[in-house]
Amino acid sequence: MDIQVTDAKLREVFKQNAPPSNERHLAAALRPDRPEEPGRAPLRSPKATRRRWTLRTAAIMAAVLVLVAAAGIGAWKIVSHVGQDDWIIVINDPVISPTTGGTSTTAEAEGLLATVTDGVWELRVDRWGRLDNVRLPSDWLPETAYVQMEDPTTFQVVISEGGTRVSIEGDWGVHHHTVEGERSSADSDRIWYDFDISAGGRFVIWQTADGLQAEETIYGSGRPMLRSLRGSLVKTGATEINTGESSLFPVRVDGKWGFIDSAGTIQIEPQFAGVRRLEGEGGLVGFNEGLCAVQLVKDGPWGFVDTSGQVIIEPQFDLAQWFSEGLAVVRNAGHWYFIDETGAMVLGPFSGAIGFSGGLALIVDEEGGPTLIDRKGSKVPEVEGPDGLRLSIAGGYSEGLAVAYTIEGAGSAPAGLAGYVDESSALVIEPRFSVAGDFSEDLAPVGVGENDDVMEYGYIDKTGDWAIQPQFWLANPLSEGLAAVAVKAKDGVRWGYIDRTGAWKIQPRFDEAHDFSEGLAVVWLDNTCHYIDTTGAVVITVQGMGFDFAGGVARVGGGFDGSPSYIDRTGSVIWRGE
Amino acid sequence: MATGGPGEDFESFVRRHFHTLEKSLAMITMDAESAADAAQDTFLRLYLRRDEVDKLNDPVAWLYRVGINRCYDYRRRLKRAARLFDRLTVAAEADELHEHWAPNIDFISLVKRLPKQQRIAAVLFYQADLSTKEIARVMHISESAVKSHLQRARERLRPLVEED
Repeated sequence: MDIQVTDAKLREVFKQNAPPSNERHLAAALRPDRPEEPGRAPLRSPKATRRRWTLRTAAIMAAVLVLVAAAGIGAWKIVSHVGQDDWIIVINDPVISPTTGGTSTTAEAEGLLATVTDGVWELRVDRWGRLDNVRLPSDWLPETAYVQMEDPTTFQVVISEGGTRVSIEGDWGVHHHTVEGERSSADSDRIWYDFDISAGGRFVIWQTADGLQAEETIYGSGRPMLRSLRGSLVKTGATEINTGESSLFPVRVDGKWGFIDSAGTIQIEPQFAGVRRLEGEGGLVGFNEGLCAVQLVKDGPWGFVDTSGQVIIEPQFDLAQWFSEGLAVVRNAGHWYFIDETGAMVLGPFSGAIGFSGGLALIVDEEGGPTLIDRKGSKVPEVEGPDGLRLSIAGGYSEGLAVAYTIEGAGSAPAGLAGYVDESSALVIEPRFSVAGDFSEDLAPVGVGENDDVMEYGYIDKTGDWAIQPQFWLANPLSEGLAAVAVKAKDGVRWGYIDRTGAWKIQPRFDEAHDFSEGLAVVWLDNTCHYIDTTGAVVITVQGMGFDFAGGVARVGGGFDGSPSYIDRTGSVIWRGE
Repeated sequence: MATGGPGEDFESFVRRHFHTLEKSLAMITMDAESAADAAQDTFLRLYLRRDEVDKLNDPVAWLYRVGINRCYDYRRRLKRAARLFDRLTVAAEADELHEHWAPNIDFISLVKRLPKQQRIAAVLFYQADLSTKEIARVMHISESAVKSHLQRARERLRPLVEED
């Protein structure tokens, strides 16, 4: 066939197979702003991440580990990053030497990870840290800073979701406390969890010759640490644990939706006509905060079930999304509301809403104006900067900072430049970036350049200084100590991974690279999807598309048939979609 | 151009290019939802720079280049930015969109299997009707590189049109 004929026919085939034109999307593009408020800057809704100080420490640890191993130094050294550029060695502490002798391999990380299994554990707290010399929450204290307690206490520690979540409960002095955290990193020496509490905190597990040790540290807001406790971590006989979110994965059997656990066993029988799935964000999450939106009958109303499959909020909504920060977005009769866990409509009506993230949610009020609101439903006011500058906050907070964009016609800065504000709405990083991402592990990817043709991405720290000079074609936030970045190549771009110093850890050789999650990242090479580990080695290759790991399980398979398959960390298929 | 809102030039430009951009992005990413986000974001960025549109050397190439970048941005969550607000009210249609977009399975499997560069070139050529010169500007590669991507894509896609 003649090339012109082939091309003409292919043009026809492409157009026949394109998605339909969406007039509402066009209308939205034509009216990106309220006409009566021409100066309104765009609102943006970055995804909030919950990572805090500890990942920074973990990254430093990992870097030092490599250095120490390379230098062949026997003793274990820990450094703390205390200023902009100076790295100092704080201590030389053989007490917490890893039993592995200081080399780091994935196999060894797997070893420690494999030891810390789901179930109920006890932290037998027997020593407390003297915090006089602590400078940063991320500081790691030497064993010599810990003092033996006269009356040891025990905290209950529940590890769940394939080791990715921790929940700790116990009495300390007169206070009973409960904290929960998410695993933020793991290497051969330590597993780190970040607490999901206001000032943050960490739970760290490491192996010694005498068994597992763990540390619970609570950070303060006026001082770096409120308390730090250590003791041995011992598994108890109890196996009954309350499985949390993400431990159940939606599957479809004969057209009905049910849920499996991470072993691939059906936990909630297929019975639902629909489950609300969060797709396109690296995975498929049925349960969020213990509830999942379901439809009992086809085209029927949406309600919520808990992880036992019991209906908790009766089906009554035309549409229901997922719980985030205690509230879920629902729609009834064209109006949007936020409901709480009892099903009560606590905020609304709005003519549009996106769920809470970083304490804020984006709504469209009934007059049609896009607005950010807080948990009480109050509108987030504009931020006043110096020289008459005004900014509008773009989305929720991440690590204490939120992106804000300059508003046209206020002050000397052009509209649409991004800076950052702190939780008191004070402008802390001057608006001078064309694109700004969320802070993650203390760094944020930002783009600079007159326009997208010359835009380059780098990373700034929380003072707004460049931590990694702009040089990348695209840059992702740090995840588990590594950031996926793209550089221009002869025939397009190539993706690889850098560490927080900007050094290449995995050379740019991929056509596409996603963020690390649970030690594995999705990459595409020669049109094939692989999972790589943090050394860049391919550990799993999948047919079709792979999504991020969550709770030890990843969804695989194309997005069109809607019936997901799942694999475990070894690449074994635990569920094959219909 | 008016500063008080989208001026006429902006509007006619959006009207001329919006649907094709959104469709092209959907076919490049095979993900209608992130394509819709990216298309909105792209036009928002254009809107913010609407006074400078005529200063861009090639607004169409700019549009597609930014659009494609935005798509991959979305897919890797750098910036879940600028979801536009009327889109909120159609968020519920995301699932609907999947249902309504029912491309031929052979078409999907062939296009999906195209390496990314070939897929982008093919979609821009066959769906967006850009010339090889324009595609070169979008992709920041030489025109001959575009032609070679297209040549390879054409070979892989040929089964779609050779049956009859």
